[in-house]
Amino acid sequence: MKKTYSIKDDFSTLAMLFIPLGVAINFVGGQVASLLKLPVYLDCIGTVLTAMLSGPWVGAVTGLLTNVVTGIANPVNFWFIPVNVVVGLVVGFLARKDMWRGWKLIISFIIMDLVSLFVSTPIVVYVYGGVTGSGTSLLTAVLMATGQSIWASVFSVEIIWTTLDRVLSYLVAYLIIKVIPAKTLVKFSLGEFYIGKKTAAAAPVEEVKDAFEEANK
Amino acid sequence: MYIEQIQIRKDNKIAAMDPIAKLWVVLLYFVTNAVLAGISEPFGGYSPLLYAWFLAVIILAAVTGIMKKFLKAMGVVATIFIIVFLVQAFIVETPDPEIPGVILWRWNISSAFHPTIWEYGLQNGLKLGFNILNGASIFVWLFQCTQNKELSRALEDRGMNYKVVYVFLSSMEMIGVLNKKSQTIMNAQRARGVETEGNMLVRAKAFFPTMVPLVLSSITDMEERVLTMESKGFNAPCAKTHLLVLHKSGAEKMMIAIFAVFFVISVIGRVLVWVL
Amino acid sequence: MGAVIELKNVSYKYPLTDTPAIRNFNLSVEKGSFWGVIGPNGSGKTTLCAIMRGFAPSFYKGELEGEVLVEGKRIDEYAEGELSLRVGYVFQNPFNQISGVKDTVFEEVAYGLENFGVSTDEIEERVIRAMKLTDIEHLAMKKPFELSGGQQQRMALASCLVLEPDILIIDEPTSQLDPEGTESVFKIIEQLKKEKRTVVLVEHKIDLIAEYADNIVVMKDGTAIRSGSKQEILSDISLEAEGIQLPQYALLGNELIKRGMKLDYIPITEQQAIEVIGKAIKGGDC
Repeated sequence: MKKTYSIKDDFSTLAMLFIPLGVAINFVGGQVASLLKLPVYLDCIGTVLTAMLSGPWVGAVTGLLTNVVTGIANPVNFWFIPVNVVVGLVVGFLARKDMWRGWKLIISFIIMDLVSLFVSTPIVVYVYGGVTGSGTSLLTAVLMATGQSIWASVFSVEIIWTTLDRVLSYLVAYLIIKVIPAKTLVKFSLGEFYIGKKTAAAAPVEEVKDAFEEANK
Repeated sequence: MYIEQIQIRKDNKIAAMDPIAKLWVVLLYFVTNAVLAGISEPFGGYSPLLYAWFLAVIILAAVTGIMKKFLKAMGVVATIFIIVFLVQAFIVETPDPEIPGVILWRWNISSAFHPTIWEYGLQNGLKLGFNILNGASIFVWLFQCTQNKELSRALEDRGMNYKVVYVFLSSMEMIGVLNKKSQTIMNAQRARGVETEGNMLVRAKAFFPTMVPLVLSSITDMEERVLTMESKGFNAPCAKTHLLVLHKSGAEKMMIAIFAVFFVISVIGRVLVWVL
Repeated sequence: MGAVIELKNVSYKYPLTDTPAIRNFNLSVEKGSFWGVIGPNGSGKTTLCAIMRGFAPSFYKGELEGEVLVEGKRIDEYAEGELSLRVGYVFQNPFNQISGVKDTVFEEVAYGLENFGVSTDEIEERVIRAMKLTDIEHLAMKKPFELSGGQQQRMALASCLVLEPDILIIDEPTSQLDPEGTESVFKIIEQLKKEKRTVVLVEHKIDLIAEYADNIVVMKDGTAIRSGSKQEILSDISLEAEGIQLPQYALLGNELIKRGMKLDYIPITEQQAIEVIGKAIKGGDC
């Protein structure tokens, strides 16, 4: 089923509300990760989710806004706007081609990973001289101290941690989409791709249901 | 009566400036920064004008009356400055492997361990550090003396779509809301036996039962909110009324002029250095 | 006369489902009447409300058959935003009815008016009126998220009423509230009844419906199994077999009659109970 996409359709009222949620998920993802003392940022989950469900432009705006808003408290995040935006664009365009299901998933993942690396590495090198102050960047410092070039040091550290970060981010987004009932999915521009074997009355996984009943008390 | 009460009132004339004028100040500051960073020849590779330019923000924060808030918000930025600077100064010897590094100072503790400060590293560290510091600090100034609703109202007046403004304001609100919810869910999950301490794998596994219910319930909420927004005329294609009224404080022209003058002087300086 | 909402042979299917959520539904809501909608969970009450307001199928997608008319006009003929000015809608969850971009209750209630371009002076006037009606004026300068559930629901009602809609659809407004919150919301519903507004109220609290509604429609499996005046419906003990609980006074009345007492009619409210049972006792027919 070939479909033409218009920016206007992508930016429905639902998208207008989804973007702030995506931004919040990006932020909270990072918070929960640091609370659990995990060595990854996990600040792209919202971007990936919005891009997969509502397309590249919604994803890109989510990414952009995330870094703008978090940048207010910590202006250093402004420099990384392009990374988050690019993740939104790449994931979204691939989502339009239904590339996030089945074996095509692997290819999409590699593309997303590489593209975000190619965008973030120059930023880390040119703006920060290689070390941003994050836990993993100290590893970069060590590599640099042993005589490696800045580019090699940054790239080798980034490739490991960024990939790990993206794998986790994608997994969370995937699990979420899996649990969203079909009748909700149809409301998103790209939702229909993920309906698959679901029926309209798909029930969420038991623990998940209990957990958010707890939260709503 | 109530409309009166919801207006924004500030005593300091600079803090009360029209937000668009403030954005101009930020822009002028930025371009001046870029120019000053390039003036290093007459100073043997250092850029003292760039370092001095940081003082401009300090003075700005002082006259805006937000010194305390400003310094508090600068904490993280300052830390990054220090880290970047130290890494560069102690680790980066030379820009080009062909040219040997110039040592400024070496502490000979042992043959294996001798912390060294390299000239290139020091200069680059100061340059990168101050670029980050200056750039970040002018934004810290902006956001410490401007409320979000002022800024978005000013942008809307200049033509920004009200939906874009909504998305921006709502993002900030949602962060707080979701953060609180995540605490509740994490506690609930802990009570049900999900382990949050232990090795990395255990902790990583705890991530999912926190995030998935959080996002799922938020998506359900969001569905209903779409209908609420629709009922509140979010999509109504007419001109919007605004209860918040923005005023100019009178300091706009002066502030923009001051920074414009700095910019012009810095450009002249740069050209002179290049020519001479 | 003035039927403000009409459903003519309406059937509706949610997307990706085979069974319709609503089947062959007919309803005519007259101006100024107060309709209660009752029925077990899953009977289609919320779907009915969504259809009346046009959220189904425009937001929920799915297939709609039959005609839905609001003030004589088909729903799809209304311009963007116009329906919100005619039909107000209150949801179950007070939290989801907050816009999230305003710092004070006053501004939150005024938000809809801002969006519709109403003049500033008129806004102040209308918002104060709506806040007074919903008893939240004292909260005007507070942050919307700091209110209790009941207060937030009253704020949602105020945000709705401020647009001065002709019709109000209220879907289980108290199901997520504590008893205090519930009471405060029902005080407002009482007021709406006094002002003879056109209201469609979905509620499980049958005693409250008995108090304020004029007419009742009982739903089950997507159809209306009963529809008519509240007196005749809420006193009918056979409804228990359909899973509907009658108001406590109706249960009492039915039980007394079963045991031999002669009542003029079966009461459904406290007032009626006192009247009709009191009369029977005085009349010595025990």
